[in-house]
Amino acid sequence: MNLKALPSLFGFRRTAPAESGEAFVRRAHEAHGDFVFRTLQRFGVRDADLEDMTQEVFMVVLRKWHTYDREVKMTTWLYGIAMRVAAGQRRRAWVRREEPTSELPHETDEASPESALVAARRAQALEEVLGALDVDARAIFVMFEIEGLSAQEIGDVAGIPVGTVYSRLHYARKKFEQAAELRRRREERGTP
Amino acid sequence: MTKRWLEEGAPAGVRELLGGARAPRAMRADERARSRARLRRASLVPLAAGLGLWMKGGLLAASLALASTSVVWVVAGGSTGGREGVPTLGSAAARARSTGTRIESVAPAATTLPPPTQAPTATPTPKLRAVAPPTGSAVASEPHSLAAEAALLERARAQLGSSPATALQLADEHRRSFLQGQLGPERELIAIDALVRLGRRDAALRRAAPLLGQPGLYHDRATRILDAH
Repeated sequence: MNLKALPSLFGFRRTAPAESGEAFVRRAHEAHGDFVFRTLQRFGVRDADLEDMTQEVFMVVLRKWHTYDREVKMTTWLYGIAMRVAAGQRRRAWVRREEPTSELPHETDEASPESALVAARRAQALEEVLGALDVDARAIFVMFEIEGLSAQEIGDVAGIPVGTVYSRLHYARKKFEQAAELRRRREERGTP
Repeated sequence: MTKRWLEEGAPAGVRELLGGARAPRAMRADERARSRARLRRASLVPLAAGLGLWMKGGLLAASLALASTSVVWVVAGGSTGGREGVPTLGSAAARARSTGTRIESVAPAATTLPPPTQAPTATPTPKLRAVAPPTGSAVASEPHSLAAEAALLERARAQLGSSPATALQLADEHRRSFLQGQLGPERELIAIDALVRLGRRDAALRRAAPLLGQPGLYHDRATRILDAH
């Protein structure tokens, strides 16, 4: 009888029993803190909220670390947590109609103030349109269309098959085009 | 659909939007350091809560054992017709009344009754909680810090008309003193106003770019300041 298979027979996950929760979280933060930070942006978390939301993701990790299945990639697990955190934050922001109140970035890469202004307005327009997508579709769209990741890479990160990546991308493009068209019409009418 | 939309011939509106899109940025060193520190502090709270729960569990087990012992004692006393000097539930309640202590059930009485020699107190016996003690300094310092922030910005705002250079200095002082401040956008509006009044329109535009990059109240106020001068 294979003794190594016993834990899974009884429904336990293959976790790291020798490691404490604190050590696990510290290790995850060191190795994947930047990944979580970028992923939250893919889900549409604003710059002003990034630090708090990153913290929230790792607080979930601290509570749930013992449920982590070592056969699943750590980044995939963190991606799922980040998605739920971002979706929750979007719901809360919608309910409270929040305004950003924390520190804002001061530096831009643009050469002149005018080009900085144009870039800022373009970023705002893109943000408005991306806001029409749900968090999951948005992240896949951003990874494929903006970051240039392949479908295989996206599938690895999100823990979904390549076929699913393409179907969600197709849906995201459709929604994006509709939202861009709506925005264009609003601008023509001059309504905010 | 293996190519990017832009390569596949996206509609003009989509091309325009995606043309200048930026990939998500990396975590800066200061953000990473803050995140690490916050996580270290936060990881201590569950430890404290866990210790509390463990203690609560131990106390519960002890009180249950004590309660069952006293029930057996009472039953044994009842079967012998009530011996003199054997404490019963009624006598415990009477003693509690005399010392001013409230008894709600058998088990808590066993753990919360003060010794008979203890002076009666008007305040109820404090209950044990599995919650970490509140971090008083963090809670108390928040409103104080907000008030300090508001006062500094008020000073800066008052200087806008007479000395925009001083207003700008005070705004920068706020930036240095309150890295995690709650009035960052307000400070930025003051700084933009001061820069415009000083004739440094380019710097004002550069500073306004983050506010103009997201819709909302601050976007409109920044636009009004830039248009007013």
